[in-house]
Amino acid sequence: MKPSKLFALFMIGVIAAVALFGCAPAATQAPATQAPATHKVAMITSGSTNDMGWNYNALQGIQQIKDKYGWEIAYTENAKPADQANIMRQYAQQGYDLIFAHGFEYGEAILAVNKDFPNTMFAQINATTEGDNVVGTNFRFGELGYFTGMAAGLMTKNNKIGIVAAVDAPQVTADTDTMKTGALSVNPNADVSVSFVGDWADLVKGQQVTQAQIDRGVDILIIMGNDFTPPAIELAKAKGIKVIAGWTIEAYPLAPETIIVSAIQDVPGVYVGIADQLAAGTLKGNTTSVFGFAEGKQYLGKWGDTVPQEVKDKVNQAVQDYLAGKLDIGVK
Amino acid sequence: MPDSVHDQPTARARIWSWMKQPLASVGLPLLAIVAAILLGSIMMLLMGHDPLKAYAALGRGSFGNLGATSETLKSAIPLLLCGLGIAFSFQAGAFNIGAVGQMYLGALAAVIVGGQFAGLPAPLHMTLATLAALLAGGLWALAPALFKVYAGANEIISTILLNYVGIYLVDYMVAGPIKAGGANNAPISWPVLEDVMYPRLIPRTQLHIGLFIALTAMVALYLVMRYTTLGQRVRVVGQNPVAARHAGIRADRVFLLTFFVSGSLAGLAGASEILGYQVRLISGFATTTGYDAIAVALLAGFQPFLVGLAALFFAGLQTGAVAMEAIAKLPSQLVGMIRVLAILAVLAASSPRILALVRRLQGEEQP
Repeated sequence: MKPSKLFALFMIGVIAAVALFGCAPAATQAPATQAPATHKVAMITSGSTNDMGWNYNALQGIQQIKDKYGWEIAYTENAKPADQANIMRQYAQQGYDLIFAHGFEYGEAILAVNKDFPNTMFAQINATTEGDNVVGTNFRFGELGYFTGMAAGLMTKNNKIGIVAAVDAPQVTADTDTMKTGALSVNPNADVSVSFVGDWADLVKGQQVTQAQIDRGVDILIIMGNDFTPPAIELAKAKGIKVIAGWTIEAYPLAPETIIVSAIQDVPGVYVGIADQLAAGTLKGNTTSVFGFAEGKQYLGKWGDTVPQEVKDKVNQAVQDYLAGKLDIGVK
Repeated sequence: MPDSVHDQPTARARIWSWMKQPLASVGLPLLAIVAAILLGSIMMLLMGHDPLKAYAALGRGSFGNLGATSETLKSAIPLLLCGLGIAFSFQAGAFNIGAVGQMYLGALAAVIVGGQFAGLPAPLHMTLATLAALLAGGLWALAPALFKVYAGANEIISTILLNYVGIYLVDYMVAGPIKAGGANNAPISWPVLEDVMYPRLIPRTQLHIGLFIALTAMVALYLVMRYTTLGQRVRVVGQNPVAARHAGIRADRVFLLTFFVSGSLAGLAGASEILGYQVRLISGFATTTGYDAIAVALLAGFQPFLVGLAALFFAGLQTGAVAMEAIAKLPSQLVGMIRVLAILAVLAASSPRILALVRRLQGEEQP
């Protein structure tokens, strides 16, 4: 027998065997409908959940849902674009009735499966979506900018504040704009300048842009990034410059003497927020839930060791006023 | 030992020689698969997972029902197209490792043509978008081939490097020039117009007519290799370029042509991913397909129909892996290991072939 025929026979055998083996246990498939009291939650993410950042937040999100409600959870990490729709279909077929898609890149895949599973809710994080059983989530961009800008305006001695922001995109510039209004509201002489790294992760460019701001002579830096934030804080610390950071992390433990405060977007909290709506029966499709200070999903982190009490009081009072509707910070 | 044993085989020896080949062809691979399943089961047990449940999920997720099978067929399309191109070029001794980049360029061309020019008749528009992808992939592959022919640059290195250029080009394009408008402001391209998308073969699945494109390419490549002088030339150039030159074959031309065809097929793979079901181009839309396809082509010994089978096998493992993670709740790292074990088992079972091929390929490198 020719080796090629041998190989062909063999491959056909393997595939046939797998098909037979695969068909047999199909009868034990979980029923598509679940008792309404409990829910099954699945999550899909494109990266690795041990990245201690964006993808880790997604895993924390469903784990916090499990802790709070005791619902069954499952997740798929490192999902390739070619498999997105298939993965969500697998979960929906098993009766998962809330499926989180962790990022903007799942828009088309959701539209490819959502109509086949009208009783399943698809939640896309950081996206505006459409569909009777599709919800999106966003942060109320601009809030964190105002209060961190205030803190910067109160803390600066030479009135020069530098912002190192990730990318020139609306969800970033909403915050950098309110940083300026926040700083000017408490310090009319504040000179606030923004520079963009062009990336959330680029360590080298992050250092360069931070150094350029330092060379301008700023005494306060607001660092709004992801991976490049910790080394940028190190650089500022060496120059004795105070820093406001955060967004994906609580920055206080990195440099308690240098950090003024952290601005925190609580991604796991958004997951719990959607689960809360599902539990309360208020989760409706064709909506985008916006999470911010009022929902407790955006907040200021731990104050640094060197921040005077009156600065903390002033900013905290402003947050209270804003929540009470007494302060307009220009955010919708 | 008396000679008579050799001269006059006993009945038992005759039966053995009659049995030997089927035994080797069925028993050996079976042994390899059983070994892989056992090893995989041990790993799962050590990590506290149920092997039965996991392998059931693998089977059910790959070929277990109509939906799973169509998903597997869908995943096999780009592997088959890229694998055919790689098989073709490797047979001519043209080592095209650049299917990744060529696929990216094909996808880029498809989304640019498919997302613009609204108002064209749908079949024409679909054809144009597909042809644009074919051409883009082919031209992207032609560049390293020209470097090789006119400057002597090693095509393995230049195709690998051009993969990165292709990937970064797509990253740049989806973040700027072809970025979708709208509320999300994410690095994602505009969508392909609805009527330019390939028709679906089975409702409620993503299986599309790209399957027929890939199967047609498979048959066409088989016919070219088997019955045409071009196929003959490709083989001669691949086996011995010096002899080919003496026989009056212009090896350079054959080299350029095989590279172009190889790139075109990868470009088609890119088009079928976008026009078939992905609709929009995103960064990292197919980072590994072009590399997996090299293994597919090698596993199949460059025979077109076997490339089809090998692509189906790889695709089955891919969709089965999804089910192992989603249904049996295995961690993705373990799923990756199980998947590689299965590939290794098949490789081991067909290793004499692979060794012979490697020997042949190495033989060509010598002057």
